[in-house]
Amino acid sequence: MKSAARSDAFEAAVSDHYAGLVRRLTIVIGGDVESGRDLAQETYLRAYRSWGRFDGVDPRGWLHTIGLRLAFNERDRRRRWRGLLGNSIGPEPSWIAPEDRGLHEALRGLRREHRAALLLHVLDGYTQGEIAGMLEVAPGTVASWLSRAKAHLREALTDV
Amino acid sequence: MSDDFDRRLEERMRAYESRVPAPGPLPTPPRDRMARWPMIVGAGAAGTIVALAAILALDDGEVGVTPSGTATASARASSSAAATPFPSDSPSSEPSPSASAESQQNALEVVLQHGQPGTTQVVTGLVDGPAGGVAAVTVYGFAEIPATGGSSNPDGAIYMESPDGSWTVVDTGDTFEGIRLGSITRQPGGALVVHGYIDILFADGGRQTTGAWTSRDGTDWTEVSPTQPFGEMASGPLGHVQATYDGEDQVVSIFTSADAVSWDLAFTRPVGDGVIRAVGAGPEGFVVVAETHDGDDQTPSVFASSDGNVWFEAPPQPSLGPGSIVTSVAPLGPDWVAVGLDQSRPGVIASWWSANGLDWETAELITSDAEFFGFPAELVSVGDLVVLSGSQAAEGAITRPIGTWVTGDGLTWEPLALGDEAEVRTALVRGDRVLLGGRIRRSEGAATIWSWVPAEVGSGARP
Repeated sequence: MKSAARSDAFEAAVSDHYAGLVRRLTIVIGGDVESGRDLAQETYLRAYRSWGRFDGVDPRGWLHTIGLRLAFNERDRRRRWRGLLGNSIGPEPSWIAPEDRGLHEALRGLRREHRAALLLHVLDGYTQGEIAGMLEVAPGTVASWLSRAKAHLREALTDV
Repeated sequence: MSDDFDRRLEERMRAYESRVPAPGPLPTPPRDRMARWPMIVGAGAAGTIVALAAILALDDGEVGVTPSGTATASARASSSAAATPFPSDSPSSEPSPSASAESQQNALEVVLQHGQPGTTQVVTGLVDGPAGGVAAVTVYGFAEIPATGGSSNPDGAIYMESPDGSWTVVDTGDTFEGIRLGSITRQPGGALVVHGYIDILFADGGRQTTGAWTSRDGTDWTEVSPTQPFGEMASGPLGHVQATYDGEDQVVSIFTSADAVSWDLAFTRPVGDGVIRAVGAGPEGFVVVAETHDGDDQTPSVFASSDGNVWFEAPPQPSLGPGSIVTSVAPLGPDWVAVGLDQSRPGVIASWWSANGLDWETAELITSDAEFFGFPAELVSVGDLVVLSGSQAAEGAITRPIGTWVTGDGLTWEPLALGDEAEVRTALVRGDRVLLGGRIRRSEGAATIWSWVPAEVGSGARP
């Protein structure tokens, strides 16, 4: 595909999903908007690179798949930096509304994979099978993640 | 009841996510990043995508960053500035002045330096092949992105040495697309083996994993299936060793191999919440340094073996107590050297020495005038010497090389004048001459191989 056509097709398919991706990745990684934006940028670069392999069916899901994989790998990488860069957990993001503090902390208490699966299921309506495909794990694993995540939130959020 | 909880949870989560600030103008990037994101800075989300596509289309619409074959090689370049394809306004890579390293400076030549606008490149492995040296290079593309570790979109490349000492890139097609190459070694039968980390876009399971490729001639490479995905890995005269950490079971596992493809589990040990920090392979054994986390405290756990089969855990010792972070370990002849961070001494690179890999004592602390936050220092063994590349951590993850040093006794370190922001990743010893591989990291890093005849360094033996 010629470069201009390729760029046009890519832009048409993905440009509407950028803001949503930033928000989603921000929550998955614990609330840091700056890192969420960086991950989203990286996601789009990766997406462009693999544009030729995209089947064109669900660009939003495809972007989220790439972004979530990046987020999971980024966590593994930061593990090695622990201690070298200080261990303290950063301050609570300024965008957290008072009424969201309980939910924010409860979500942060989940592993990223569990948090991501929960968001994909509850907010986006993806089935367990679809989430399994996106994250390349067994459907039973997703079921387990969702069960644990909901049990955790049910216990942590007494006002829901 | 459950449906009611699910419904209220959805409402709460939807409201919560909607309050994440909308992506506005991107944060002001560092200078090198700015150069690659000129149209994005200051643009909104829609503008971001337009600009992104436009930038990516600059290079004929293809974003593969495989070297174009335009490696600038000079077998006898006395100044790396003459061998670099970078514009003249790039910082000079002339060796920085160093009185103690004058003789080393005179014995240094840059034999390969290859960069490409929009990429940063690094030599990660060097080995003697059937017809000269073979180098593993990783080419990172696009911008430096703190959240993902500094660079993105890796591609592997292989360079080969010609009889005249020059280096040229090998056409390996798409074999190493999406591969961050690591070490390169020779199997007992003579075949070359290069290890790589497969990018998430190309890996089964969507997680970074590892792979290995073999070649008889350095040109045709075939992917093989290692019996064990590798973690931190080192190679030495006694074979290969790697260590992995299982975050679920919180166990360190150590594997050994004779051919770097078939791995045997040799040792496991629960370490709690932790991480693998460093692996070394020397003429008299192997050392693995893990780390146990307890809240904000880190404590090294050191394991050593003389044969790779029987492993011992070092007893607790004052020199490597809580707050000591070992980032690299390497053999120094029959002994061992480790470097890292002493949290009680910010602003220095800490170093340790051991005769057996189990009992460690503190050696010289390397200081610099710069203000440092962390020191992810790396060691490379070079015959009877060890070369240290020190880095400064900043911006949460990005590092900037701050110097290279060399030791012959593990006690004292002398500056090694390799040039501006140099870092050494690998070495190949050829008699009195050594090839060092790494990169000069300027605004965009250039893969670099230095030919070096070491001068007298230290005592060469510990008193």
